Amino acid sequence: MNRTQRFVCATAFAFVLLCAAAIAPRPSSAGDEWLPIPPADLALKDNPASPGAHAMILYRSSDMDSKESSVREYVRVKIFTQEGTKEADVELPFNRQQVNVLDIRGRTIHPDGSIVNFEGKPFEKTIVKASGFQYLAKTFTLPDVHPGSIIEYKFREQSDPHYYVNESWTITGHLYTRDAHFVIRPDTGSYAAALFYRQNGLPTGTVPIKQPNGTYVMDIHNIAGLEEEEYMPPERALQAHVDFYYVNASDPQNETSEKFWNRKGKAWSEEVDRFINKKGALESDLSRTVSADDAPETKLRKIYARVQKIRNLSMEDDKSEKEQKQEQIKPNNNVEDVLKHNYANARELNYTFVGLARTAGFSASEVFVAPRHVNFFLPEMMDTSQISADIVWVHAGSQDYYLDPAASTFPFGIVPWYETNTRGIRCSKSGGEIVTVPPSPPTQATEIRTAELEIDSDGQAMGKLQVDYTGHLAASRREQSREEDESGRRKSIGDEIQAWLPAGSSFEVTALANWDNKDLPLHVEGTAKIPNLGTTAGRRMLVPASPFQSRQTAAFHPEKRLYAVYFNLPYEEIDDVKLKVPAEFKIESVPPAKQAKPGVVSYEISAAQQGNVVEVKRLLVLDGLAFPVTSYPALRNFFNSVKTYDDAQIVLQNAESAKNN
Amino acid sequence: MTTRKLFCKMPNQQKITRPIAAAARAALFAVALTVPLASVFARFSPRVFADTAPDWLRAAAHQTLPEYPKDAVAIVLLDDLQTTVKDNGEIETRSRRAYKLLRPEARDKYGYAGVNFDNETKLSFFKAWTITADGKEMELKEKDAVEFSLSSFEVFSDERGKGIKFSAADPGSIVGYEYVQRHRPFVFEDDWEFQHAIPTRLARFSLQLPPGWEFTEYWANFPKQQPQSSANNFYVWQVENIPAVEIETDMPPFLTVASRMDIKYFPRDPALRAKTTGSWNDIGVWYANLTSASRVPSPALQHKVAELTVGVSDPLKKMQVLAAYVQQQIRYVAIEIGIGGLQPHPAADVFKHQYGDCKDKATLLSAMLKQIGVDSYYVMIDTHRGIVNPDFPSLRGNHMIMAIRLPQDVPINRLYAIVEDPQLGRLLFFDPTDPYVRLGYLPSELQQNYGLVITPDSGKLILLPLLPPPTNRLLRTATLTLSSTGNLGGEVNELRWGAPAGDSRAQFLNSSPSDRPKVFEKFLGTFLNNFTLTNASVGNLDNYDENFTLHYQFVVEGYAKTAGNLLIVRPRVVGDKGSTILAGKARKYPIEFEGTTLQSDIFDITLPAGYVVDELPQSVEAKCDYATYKSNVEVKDNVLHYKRTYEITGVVVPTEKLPEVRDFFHQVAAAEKSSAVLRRANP
Repeated sequence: MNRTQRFVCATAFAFVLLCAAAIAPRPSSAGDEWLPIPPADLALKDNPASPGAHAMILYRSSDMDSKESSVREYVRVKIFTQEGTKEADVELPFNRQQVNVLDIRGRTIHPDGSIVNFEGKPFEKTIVKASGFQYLAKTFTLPDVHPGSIIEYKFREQSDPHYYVNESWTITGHLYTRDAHFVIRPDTGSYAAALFYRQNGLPTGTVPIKQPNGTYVMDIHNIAGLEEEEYMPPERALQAHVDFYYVNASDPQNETSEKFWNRKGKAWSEEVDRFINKKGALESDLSRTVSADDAPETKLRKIYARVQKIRNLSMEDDKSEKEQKQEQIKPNNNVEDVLKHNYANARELNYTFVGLARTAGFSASEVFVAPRHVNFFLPEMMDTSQISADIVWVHAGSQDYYLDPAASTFPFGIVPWYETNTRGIRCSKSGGEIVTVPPSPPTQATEIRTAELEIDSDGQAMGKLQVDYTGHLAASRREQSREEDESGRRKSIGDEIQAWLPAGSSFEVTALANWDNKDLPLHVEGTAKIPNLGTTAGRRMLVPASPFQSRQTAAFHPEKRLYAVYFNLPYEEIDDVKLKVPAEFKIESVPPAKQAKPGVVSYEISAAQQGNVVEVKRLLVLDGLAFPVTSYPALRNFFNSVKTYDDAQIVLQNAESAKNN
Repeated sequence: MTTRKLFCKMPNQQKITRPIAAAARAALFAVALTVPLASVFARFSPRVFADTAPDWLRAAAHQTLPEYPKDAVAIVLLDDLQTTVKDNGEIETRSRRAYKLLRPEARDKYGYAGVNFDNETKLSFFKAWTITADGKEMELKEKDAVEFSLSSFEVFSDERGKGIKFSAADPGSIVGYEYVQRHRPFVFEDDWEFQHAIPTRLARFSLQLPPGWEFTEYWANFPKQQPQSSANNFYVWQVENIPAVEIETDMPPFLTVASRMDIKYFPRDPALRAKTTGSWNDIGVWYANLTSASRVPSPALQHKVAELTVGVSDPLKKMQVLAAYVQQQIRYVAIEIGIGGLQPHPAADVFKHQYGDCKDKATLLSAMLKQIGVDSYYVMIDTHRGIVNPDFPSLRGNHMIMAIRLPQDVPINRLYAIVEDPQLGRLLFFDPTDPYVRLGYLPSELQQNYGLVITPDSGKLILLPLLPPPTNRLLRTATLTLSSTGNLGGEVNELRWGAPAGDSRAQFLNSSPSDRPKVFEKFLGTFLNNFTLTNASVGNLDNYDENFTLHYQFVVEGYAKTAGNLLIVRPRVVGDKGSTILAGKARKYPIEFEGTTLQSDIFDITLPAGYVVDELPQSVEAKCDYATYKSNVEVKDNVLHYKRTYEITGVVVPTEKLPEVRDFFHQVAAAEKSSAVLRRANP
């Protein structure tokens, strides 16, 4: 399960170090010195490296002094368009308990070099404030800003030395960055031996350079701004960033990534072992759960079902202390507590599963993985926060299983999509080992749509439409609507199905089955009404082969693409639609069968006439996740073809006129 | 209590609603915060366990309830607003509200207690309780609340909210909260909004006025109720079993359909009388006093006016130059603190900083116009028709525009937003905030809408004009060629002015220049598949005084569908006049079109050689009281000529007229989908 919990990791370690160091912040005076502005920048009309932007960062610097717990930021932005003037509205959020934003200065420089200083006082906006917690923002707006202006501002983030300073550089933002200069002056006191870094997305040849005094400096140029595209990889994976971390003097220095993960995996394994070290409780529970003569997989399934019966607190709203007290919810110190209390958080559930599986004689381990919707796992980064989700590995019989019993709506054998086809660390006594969770096949995410629609002489189609969601598609819907009642679920699913139909259509759910039986497909039945599905052309009526709107096509309209195309999971769409034609019409022609199989995506459609009914069968299979940007034209062509074939026309002819032909 | 302030409108922002309803509060919790509230609430929960719910909540919980619709997520058991007005003008408001949660979905919308406040409003009490289905009682106090900013489009606003997440907000639970606010309002008007998006069992409003004070009330969307009163100037109104406002897509603003009582107070003390808004004139005078010093020009401002108008002798041209300057050069920035929600910044400051909100822009332009001898007035208005109600003078509204008193020598042949007022003369209404609607025109949502024109010594409510359809024009012409394989290619030219120009300009200007081809692609993708945009350009994008033009070329593979020896082609290649607003079940509330418009498509499609026309779509002529649609297809010299016109003539469609309009759009949808059938001459 994906959770916000993080392990004991480098950042937490840094936090501890900083707490221990307790160095008082030194107030620093804010100078009004500004860097000179080259005349060429004053005259700049557009970004020559990437024309056509509203604005660009000409220069940015970030100078972090870890001893002072302060960061001095300097930002210079060139405005190209009226829309770009919004960059002059600046909001600097901060957590008041840990940091303050001070010494804000700003100014606007016109193309003729004239300068208007920001002379106002920044406002302090309450983003969230609660007892002992203040998340605020300093906001201000720069004066006299027009297209052509350069705006620049600087400020100091002063942290309380008792708190951890986020020692990282995120270079990619929403604007193009022409030049940036980063400095980090480490705090290598008695507790920390050295500062190290990990990076993602830096241009070749650009790395932080360590100076003789331990300071790291990096100059970086021409970093494109992050843009939004449909089906794009996780934002964090596209951002250029550098994260720093300290290594304790007592920990291994210059450790390889393999050794790092091995060490971490071993420590986490010990944590699991400690939690499940209640043999008696596990044996007792297992004896009530499985039979000795059950086949290995049967045993596993029974254990899986047993664990999923335990109340999953992670699937509920966070509870206040009062609510916990009211419900008498106590912490679980070990697996015996879990089995006794019959409630647990997600991680405890997975630990419990490991305990029961091992007690049943299987090899079982906790596996920490990178949830793909957040980031990808880069082992060389040696950052434990990458692998924030956890599942369970079991070897039973001759088979390896990756399971997530804590994913309450997911049946045995299926883990949430973001935990498939990803890498992580399998923990064991001998240490952590990098493993890859296998991809999910398209057959584990199928949408089967069957419809029997009758078209009237006005072209309106009406009739029964059934949808069966299997595997991931069923589980994710069960999860999304788990807080809804029957009426709410019907509305959610009904709205989703209605959106597949042409504009103006309606879909009324009449039955929703197997909601609570997650081993069966989620079955939806209802009545669809599609006005103008058939359109008249004189004595003819034309009906599209598929009444469903293609869901992927819109994402492939743009001819240009910046990023790789990234789907969540492989899936199948299987349609069987019967269209009964109006009595006044006869079927003149049906579209020819078509298929397209350019690779891991495939499509086929066929239409057959049976009396006054046309039966259209359609299959769309996506059996891949990530497609490099070079594949975009082919993928675009494929989905355009799908839409074209879906829209092929069934031609009906008025029976009277047909008789006269 | 309703705060009367903040009339500002972002350019192109469709709707700004203040978060005064429970649903809006819940939405704020969901979207406005960057820190997950659940974790915040969990972290800062209290440790006090000896809880008792107040008697009023217990009484609400134990009452017998009538049957409610099955889909109701919750019920307002009690909505009790107690207002005490003191002789010094201070008002204390005690609000008690109780909900019964019926369905899990209620957690999102009614799982929080919320109250708004600002620098002028003190919150002296705030508590929330839960009575669970099994009778357990839990209490949360103000220290358990989370505070958050309600700034949305503003760079800064002092308006904030406090929210408490109810404990155990589960189906079957009764939740309730109480708060007390004290404030000295800028004007003595308030409202009691007793109809909600869920049914209300009982709502009560009590009013304690000081001796000698008086009040008037106005009932919106509800029959007038007589209060119970006592000798000491104490009044109580009570209503029961109020049904939910059914939420429909594109419905009129909630405030215009929900039942409420508006009220205003008249103090005994003549010194406080200035805060009374008994008539539109009173409001005008009050606002005129508030802004009397706002439009004093600085030398720099005077110099700028001279610079902008140098060499321009035509008075209208001078006005256009100044209007365009304020619309386009003054950046929209809203900073609203206290009275700043109502009072504009001085014109000199707005000019110096080169930014301001709607009232600041109106102030600056008014000061600039004065320099060329043209008088102008503030106009208070709301960006939703129906909010400003002529029957009840009020500060209700969210926007400020202006009325320019046109000199007699100014020709008006291209100025459409004009009202001839017997007292104020020829007024040209103008919105200096909307950068895309030039002088002479008016944003669609402000047309046929009431605005309060504020002169130096009066206020007068005026109905702004509905501009005729030809002022909002779209003319699209296309020259296309169809191949025998069904491929279609060619070019389209669009000429836009009025609203279609403004909408389209906004789309293109909001996109970065490098992303502008995507705007074309997105548009074409609505109608075409498998297309390639081969060329695209826009004309007069920044020149708002000229017609906005679009030119684009594309090729579409397989546009015409083949069926045996037939080629099926939809003559309506691009453009969409249909609407699904009336699809589905019958509506309860009226609909509004954005504005009047006249749009024409003229497409010529050269047909492939070797094909003859087998069928052509029939001519269509659809009409209702608010719109007309005509389309016609004919073939001459192997060219298919498609022509259609679409005209919206009225904007507000009352409920009784909806079936007629539904039928109209059904005909439009069918016509838009209709195809021509071509047959291969020699198969």
